[in-house]
Amino acid sequence: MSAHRVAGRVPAVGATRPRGDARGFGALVRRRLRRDPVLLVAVAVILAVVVAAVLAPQLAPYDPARVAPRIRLAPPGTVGHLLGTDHLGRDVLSRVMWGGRVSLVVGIVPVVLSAVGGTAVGLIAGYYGGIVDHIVSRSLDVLFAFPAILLALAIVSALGPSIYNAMLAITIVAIPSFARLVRSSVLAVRERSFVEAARSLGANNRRTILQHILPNTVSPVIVYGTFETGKTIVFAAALSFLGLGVQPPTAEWGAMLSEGRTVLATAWHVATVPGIAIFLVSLSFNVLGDGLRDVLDPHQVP
Amino acid sequence: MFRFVVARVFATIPVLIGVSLVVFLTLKLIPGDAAEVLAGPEATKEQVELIRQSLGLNRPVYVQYVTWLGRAARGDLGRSIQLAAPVTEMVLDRLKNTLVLALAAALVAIALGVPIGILSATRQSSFIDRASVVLALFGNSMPTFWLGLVFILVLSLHFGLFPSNGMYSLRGPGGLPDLLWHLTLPALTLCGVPAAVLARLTRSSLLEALNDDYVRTARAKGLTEARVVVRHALGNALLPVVTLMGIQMGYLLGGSILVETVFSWPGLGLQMYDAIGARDLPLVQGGVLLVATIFVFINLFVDVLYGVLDPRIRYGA
Repeated sequence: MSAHRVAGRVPAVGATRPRGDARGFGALVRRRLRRDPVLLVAVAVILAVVVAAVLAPQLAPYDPARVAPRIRLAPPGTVGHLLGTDHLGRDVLSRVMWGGRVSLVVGIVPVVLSAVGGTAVGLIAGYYGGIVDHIVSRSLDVLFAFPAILLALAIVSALGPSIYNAMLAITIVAIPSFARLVRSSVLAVRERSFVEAARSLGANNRRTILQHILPNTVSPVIVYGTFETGKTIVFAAALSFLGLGVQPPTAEWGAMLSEGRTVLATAWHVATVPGIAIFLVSLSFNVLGDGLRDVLDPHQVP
Repeated sequence: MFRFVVARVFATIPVLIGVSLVVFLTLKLIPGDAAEVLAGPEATKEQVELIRQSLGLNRPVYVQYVTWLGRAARGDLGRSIQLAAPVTEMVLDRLKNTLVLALAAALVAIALGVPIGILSATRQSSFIDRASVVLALFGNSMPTFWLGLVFILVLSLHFGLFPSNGMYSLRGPGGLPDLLWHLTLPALTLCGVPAAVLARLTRSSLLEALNDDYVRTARAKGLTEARVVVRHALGNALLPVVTLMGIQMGYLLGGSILVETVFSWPGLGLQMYDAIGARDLPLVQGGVLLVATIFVFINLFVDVLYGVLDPRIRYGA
């Protein structure tokens, strides 16, 4: 995706990285940010959204649930309501800020959980191989046979619609990709000489996996996890849009979009504002993923 | 070739069994008394008991699974709670509308993605190459359902170019032109992500092929660049694109639930959206099972097609 970019000086990989290269790594990141204004903007957007979400109780001009029927569907730019109001007269700006608290958590927590779960599964399958790998791989094939959103939908509709069930479903749906990714890097690392050296020095399976193999699988997981976060924020909003995630009147971007859809003809901004929020954050995580890939995972640069 | 196809077909059987097991297990996730949930809120005690008996919910889980699988294999997916009609008939009735939408989106994605990919590979770092990077990034980050709403807002409500919902006009001429007119916005919405992915893959795959020895030979014997690209490089470069398109069909079938909801397209997705709202679980499970099964067969078809196109696959593994 970023063939036109040059990764700059490439740090040594994983376990073989010499001491003192940490400073070089920091310098690499700074140089990367300076050279790529798009990446800088993406990082700024993510930071701004995180700050706005965390400080929503202090910064938001109104209570996100405050109903004011007399000023319903006020357009953006109305005095006191910068981004207008929705069909109940609630302030859209305040709701987007409060909604960010939910959307970011629902977008990030399942990715962290599935990264940890998928890494564990991938390490075990890749390291032990044989029948264990066979069973794990075939099970992953089965989960890959479902379009992700349908599997999540089946799980949440059975458990009952709620934000926690949605997060659980997103986690389950995202585990296979992480597991497959980690498994393939384990297969490559397992045959390297430093692993053989560790084993011949008497390291047991646990020590070999945790001390020698795991550190070499982390970079691709972080890069993929960043892309996955962008995807998950959209995915979680989609589940809420379908009525399977956050339940009204809680402010969340997908649920706001769904509510705004009913007044699309008279008040375009109610659905458009949260849509832009989802799009911007997802876009920023995708750009950040590109940048991280260049820095952390130079082998993957096309 | 025959052995290759047979091996592929047999390899899908465990996947299908796994898929059925997963769908069955989601029924086991229902908290509390599944019979009461499945019977719906207005069911009498007798009706709940009837469901418990007919699904065998008081028997061991593996007996339940085998019974359920046996029925599913014979095309019996239970009855919808909402309408008390057989689920199989309901989902099959709606499936064709979803296939129309998904296939239309697939065609548009290929028609947009492949030429853009070819152009950006043959003119590296040109305007179209840079624009396609940005478009692909946008396509990947855009929430499908929001893109649909923006289309409705601009092209339907503001300019009145296309209808915002449904498949045919209520009082209209009907027929194919009317269908295509209604199909335009949903298909454009749904094709965004696959078109972006296809463009990027076509680009990188063609760039790789253009560095191969046989392309150098073709150039060395004095062929025009257009002929080198179209006759020599493109054939090999499009092989991975075929596989990707198979994977993208899963996205199209899954993503159709969002697009159908936005555009009130009367397909399987809209039916499942309504079923979610009504907690009509047998209908939801039936729809998921049907789509996952179709997806497995699409991947089987793509695998076999790949073997036909590339003999190395056939004889290799």
